[in-house]
Amino acid sequence: MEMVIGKKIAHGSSNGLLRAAGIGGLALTGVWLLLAQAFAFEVASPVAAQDYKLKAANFVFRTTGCADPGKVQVSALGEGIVDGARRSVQMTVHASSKPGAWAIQRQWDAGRWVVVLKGACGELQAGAIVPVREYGFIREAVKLYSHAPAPGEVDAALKALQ
Amino acid sequence: MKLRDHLPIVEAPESVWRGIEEAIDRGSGKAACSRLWWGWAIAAAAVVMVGVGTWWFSMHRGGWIETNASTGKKLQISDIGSVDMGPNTRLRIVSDLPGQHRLSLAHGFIHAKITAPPRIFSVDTKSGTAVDLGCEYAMQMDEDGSGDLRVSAGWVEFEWKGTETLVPAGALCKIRPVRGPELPYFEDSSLEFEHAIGRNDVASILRLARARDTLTLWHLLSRVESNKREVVYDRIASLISLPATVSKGPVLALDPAALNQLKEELAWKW
Repeated sequence: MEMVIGKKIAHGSSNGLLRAAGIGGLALTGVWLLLAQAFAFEVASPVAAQDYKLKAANFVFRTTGCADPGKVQVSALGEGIVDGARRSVQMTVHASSKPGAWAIQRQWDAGRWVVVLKGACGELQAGAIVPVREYGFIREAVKLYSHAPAPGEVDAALKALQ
Repeated sequence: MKLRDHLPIVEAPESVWRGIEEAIDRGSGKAACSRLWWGWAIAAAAVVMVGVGTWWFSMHRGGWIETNASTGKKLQISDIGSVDMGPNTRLRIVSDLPGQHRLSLAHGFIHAKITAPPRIFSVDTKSGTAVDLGCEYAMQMDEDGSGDLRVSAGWVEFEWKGTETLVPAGALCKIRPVRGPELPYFEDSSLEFEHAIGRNDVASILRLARARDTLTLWHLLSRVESNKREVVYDRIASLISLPATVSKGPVLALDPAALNQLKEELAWKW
């Protein structure tokens, strides 16, 4: 009899644990789905686009997390400091032969520059600040946002380049 | 300096030109007409032979180009780019055709800057062939076939006995005689990681790898024994969140399409 009760108690406890584990799992799955579906930029070396015409680009980028990739809109603005003066240049975004990947080629003079990326997927927004060199970009200094970068964030990124 | 400057000139035989001149000089009549006809036929055949000969020579026989201990040399590769030869370098032109520019590097140093579509330009060495995939790179090769390949823009594929090693910008690959290319790695990876590659120490390579070092791990997948592939794949998956489109099974079976899909995804971290 005790054995039966014991079993029942153990069974009840096991049910509770299972329920808790189930709820936890669902919550984790929800968080994972949210993260997995977050609309964001991804910035990489030109080899990622696998397009030889863009091999001399400073960097390439794509977006992730847009349910309808065909609706993604992107733009790029160069923000720099040349001889102590702030400069802004609208950048040409080059589409790669690989759908959904774009490239930024050097369109600036001497000085310190960051490229500010803005992206939209319907209501969703994404942003990135990419510090660039004469050739290439500074991978470890790239900042990704779930919004269009604010002026203060751009200023901070330029200041960090000093 | 242009590559075609080093190709031998193949002339039509003197008898062909004599035949043509005689036929023209000999005037009218049936016999003359017939001779003239034969003369033209021989001339046409000679032109074809000269063309074929030139093509054969350009494909198979180029002269050796050498630099001494103190000077280099710049070679213009048609309109697709250039190759700078360092001092003490010896190379040969294997072919110089619009769709195929091929050099053979015996030893020394070259820096190639090519703007052609992939696979138009390649360099043979004792330990394999560097195939341009749209790139700029430097290659050092010793007489025994050991050397290294450093890529500064685009990609280079190094082919050796059916093994293909992809070296993207910022990465390098050491080349060993008999053993061929080692695993490629990024120049900013740790010295410890580089040494682990040199020792072929798989456990250390996996332990020390960063997300960017999945370049090395991707190559490792097809170079370890089949029972170790899963460990390598799992390490890649722990470093980079792979999309659902990448399937583990086909990758472990070394399915070319699956490996290519995995590479294209990982390249966003390279």
